[in-house]
Amino acid sequence: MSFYSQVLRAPDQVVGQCFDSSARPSIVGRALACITLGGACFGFAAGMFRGWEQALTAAAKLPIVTLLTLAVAGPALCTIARAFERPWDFATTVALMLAAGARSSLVLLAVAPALGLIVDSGFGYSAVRLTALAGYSLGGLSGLSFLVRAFGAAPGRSGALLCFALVFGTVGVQSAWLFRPFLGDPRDAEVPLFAHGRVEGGMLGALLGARHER
Amino acid sequence: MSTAALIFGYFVGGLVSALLVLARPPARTLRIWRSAALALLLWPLWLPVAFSTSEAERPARRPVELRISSAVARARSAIAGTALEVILTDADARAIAGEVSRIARRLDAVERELRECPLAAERARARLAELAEGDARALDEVSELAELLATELTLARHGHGDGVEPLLAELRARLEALSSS
Repeated sequence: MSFYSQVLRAPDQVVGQCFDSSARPSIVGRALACITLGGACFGFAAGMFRGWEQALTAAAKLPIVTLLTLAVAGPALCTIARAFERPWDFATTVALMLAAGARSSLVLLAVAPALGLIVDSGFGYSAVRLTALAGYSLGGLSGLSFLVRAFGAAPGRSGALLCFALVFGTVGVQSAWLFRPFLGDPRDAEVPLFAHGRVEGGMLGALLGARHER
Repeated sequence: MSTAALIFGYFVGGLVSALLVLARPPARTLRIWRSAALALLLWPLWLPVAFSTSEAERPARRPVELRISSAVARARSAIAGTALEVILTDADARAIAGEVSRIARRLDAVERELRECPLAAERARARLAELAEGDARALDEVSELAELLATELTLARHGHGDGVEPLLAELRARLEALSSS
């Protein structure tokens, strides 16, 4: 069974392989390929809402957002795992996290044609945005289910997952905010590469009320 | 810090990482160049894996290692979600993989020694050849046991596996013997 089938159909086996140092480089390489491809296809489908140019931009930006989030959240996952008595080394943590990312990106890859169909059918901005959000959430849940397996049945699993979800969610939202727009706001005559009048401090800044519009 | 400075800093980090990856192994194979390229672009994610162990530079896993890991994976998936899961846990599978990998690494080293020192004393070469033969035989036996175990566990899932316990005991004994060798 190839890595791509294994990570979807037999994630337990992939979890086991992440602990095998000789199998790890191959898993990480393939996971990075999945994340890039899955993110690019999903981004492309979403960006088609505003035409080819935006589709290509979103296809480039979405994998970068995912990889950036994973890179920033990696050390946190390693620390959280250790705090909850899973003494994973850093390389194993990165492999597990990327394999989870690969699983979720393969789901995004599967959802991308459906999103493309919604876009092509002429649905409005809100409907497309909601569909994209639903697709991304589905991918996220799929990745989370991989991490549930990685943490095993020993006590502390829920706590560890909750802590990591909090860190990953915050970093992910902040990264996505910095790289927006992906769909392209219909109010913009021409979609910018990055959002106009960006609120400095990103999503967290906006939530905390630190508004310094450019 | 401006975005341009941030991107510049990131790629300086990537360049240093790529150079470190290239400087580490004695020979620069295609695999090492690929690893360096990944380190240049994605160093925060790739570098820990590239530097985790020297295993990353091994040419390839031995076919017997792949047979064993595939058999263990098959055994695990045969009992997944059943009461039999406790017979062969994730920890057991990891222990088997770890021990097999250790023996395979030792076998690699012994074979390399035999290849690279053709003028070594006859007695030393005979000793190395004996060690290599023993390790290769042990791995073959473990592979055979793992494959039998996978089949038995598949049968056990359907209520026909009578030989699971003795097979598992034999596999554990064989691995224990290997770990003390």
